[in-house]
Amino acid sequence: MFPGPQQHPLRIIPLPAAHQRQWDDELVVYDQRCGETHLLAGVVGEIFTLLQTSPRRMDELIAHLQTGQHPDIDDPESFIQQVILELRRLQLLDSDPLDSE
Amino acid sequence: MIEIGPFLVRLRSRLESVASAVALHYEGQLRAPDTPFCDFHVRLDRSRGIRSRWRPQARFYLDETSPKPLPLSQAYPLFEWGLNWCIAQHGHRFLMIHAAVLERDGQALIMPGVPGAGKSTLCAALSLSGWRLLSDEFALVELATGQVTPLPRPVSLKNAAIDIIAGHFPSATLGTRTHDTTKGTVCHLKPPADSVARAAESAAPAWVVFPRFETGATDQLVELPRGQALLRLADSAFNYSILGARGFETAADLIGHSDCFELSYGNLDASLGLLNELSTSQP
Repeated sequence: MFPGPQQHPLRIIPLPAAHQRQWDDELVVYDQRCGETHLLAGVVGEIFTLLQTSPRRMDELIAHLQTGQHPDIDDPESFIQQVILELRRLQLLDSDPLDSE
Repeated sequence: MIEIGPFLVRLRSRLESVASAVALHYEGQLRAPDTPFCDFHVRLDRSRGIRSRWRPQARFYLDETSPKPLPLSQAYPLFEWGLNWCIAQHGHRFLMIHAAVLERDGQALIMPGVPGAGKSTLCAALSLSGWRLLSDEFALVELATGQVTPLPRPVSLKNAAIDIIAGHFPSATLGTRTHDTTKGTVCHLKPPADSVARAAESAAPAWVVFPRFETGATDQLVELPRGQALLRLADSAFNYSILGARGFETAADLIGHSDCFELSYGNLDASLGLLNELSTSQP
């Protein structure tokens, strides 16, 4: 049985360290495949960095938000889905869990 | 032959208005005509054809190719705009940012700005009050070192800015006013002699300030997060995409070494005061 999208580990595309810069809560990423530069601010940058450290499932990301310093996020599940959608739109995710369904 | 920072320009023209303006504005940068090498072969002449009999026009040629002509009265501004085009098309050994750049104590103040943001007015005023003019139009950032290379050229003033600078700085050398250009009335300010004499001295980026002129605005400098500043700097660069990863790394290094601000600008003296405070408050 294949894992569902909630259980599929998400990973960030390989990026050279020189193509990323972090200043305070802003992360700027250069994607040399398309020449685009992305600004990932706040929690989006935090999730990006977390996924870059090691691939994680959606439920692990939700748990991270629930246990982290993010009391302002009312609905972590919906929030993470939005973040993943955004990272997918920017083509910064290495594999798309929906593609493996 | 004109030496403009890292570029040598061979200019040929029969137009008296161009010859006199070049003699005025590039007085300290003219080189022997037989200088063997040059970066740009430029010609500025009357447009030919029957139309030119009743509506005289000037054409700018780079290696004998020419974009659209302009009225003959705009021949000198056409030279300056054509030169911008030459540099933007060919200066890819630099990250080229559309910005005014000034220097003090070896540190560069970079002011990117869309047309109308007020960067040329601020640039002219700063260059006449203690800062060294590096460029009114291009921040040339060396890819290898991140240093800003000077490009001392006349500062292009438009419309109300001309009288503002003439009024504040009566000793400033201003050229002839050209009316009815696509930018309105245009007048060039001769670069200070010190800027020309020190054209080989590069400077380290220290401040990136995005000015925004608004009539009646309260003058204030507001810190800009570096990530946002980097995206705006990339938007202002002529060749960021062409340079690819090197463009990103150069721009990111520049931002990383600079304090970044937005300048809301309504009053020249007040904004000059704010920008002067930047350099004096540096540790």
